[in-house]
Amino acid sequence: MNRKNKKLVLLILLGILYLLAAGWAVVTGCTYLGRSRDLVMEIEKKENELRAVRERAHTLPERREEYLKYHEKAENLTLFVPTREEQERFIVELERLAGSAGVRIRSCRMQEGAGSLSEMPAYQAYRWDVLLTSRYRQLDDFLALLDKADRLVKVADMTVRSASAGEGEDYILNVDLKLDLIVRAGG
Amino acid sequence: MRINLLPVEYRPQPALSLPRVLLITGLSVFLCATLVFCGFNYFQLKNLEEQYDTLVEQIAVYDRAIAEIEEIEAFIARVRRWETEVAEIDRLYHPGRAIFWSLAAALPDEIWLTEVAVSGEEKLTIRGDSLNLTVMGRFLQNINQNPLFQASSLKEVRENIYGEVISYQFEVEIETGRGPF
Repeated sequence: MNRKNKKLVLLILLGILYLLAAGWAVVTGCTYLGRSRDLVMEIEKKENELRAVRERAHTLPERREEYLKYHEKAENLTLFVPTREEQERFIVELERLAGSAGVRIRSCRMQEGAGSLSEMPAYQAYRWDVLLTSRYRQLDDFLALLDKADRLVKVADMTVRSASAGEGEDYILNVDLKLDLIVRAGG
Repeated sequence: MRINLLPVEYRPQPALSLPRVLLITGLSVFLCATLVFCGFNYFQLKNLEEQYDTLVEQIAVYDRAIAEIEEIEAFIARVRRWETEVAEIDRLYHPGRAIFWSLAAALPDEIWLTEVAVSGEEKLTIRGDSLNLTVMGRFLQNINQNPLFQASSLKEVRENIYGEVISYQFEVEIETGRGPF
């Protein structure tokens, strides 16, 4: 190989090297540019997220106040609809309501087992058969007090018969009540 | 005078010629430009990555607060669902007092009831006495006009004679449209 050819080969090699270097620089630069563009969009998203998160975090004191309010509600609901029948508490409550309304409880019995409420599998109802003697006004008061009772009690069936004929307020009624004491099936 | 007898391609070329300088300069500038392009984008990317990491760190600062808020919100949602369920249970049962009030409002003076049975099967059975049939008709009409009751049907009417007084014992069945189970 003469000197001229050597120079030519060197020139070709240099040319290839140049092309490789320039090509690498362009391709890598474009890759970085593409990633930068994607990252710009990601950063925009993160900035929005940060803004939203910051705004949300600033509501924490209000949320804590709200939590206290709802915690109290939850405690009341736990007492209102407990997870077991708590007969003893219900009997006392029933007696208290009857006393307040002026109704006389003649008999009171809880049926065996609990029935489930339609479309509400999380709740069960213990049925109580209660026989009362009262006047119409007292019965109305008793029903009103039942609605405001400390436990969730609903009147499932009610039969009212006249026990003795009288005048107006003196009309004595025999009341056969079937009360559903609602409890939560789960915790 | 010297005469160069070598062919043109074998004659010695000058070390620097304008086209060669321009070519080398152009190629160098292009190479530099590509390297600058690559370097600029690299540093730009690094800068953006740093910015991204900073943002992620800033968001992470609020993680505990957000977790607490989410916990509170989940708790509130649970209590609200619970309240809704209790209200739903309320709707499953007939409004006993409202039925009594509606009956009392629909009752003419000449009628007195002896038995009222409110059952969970959307049914209300009432028995009573009336002094005449016209009053009974008015009573049924009043019941049918009440939005709480869907329909009423007269099951039985029996005539009772006490000396000179004639009364009618009747039984009416009313659909209330509500039931517990």
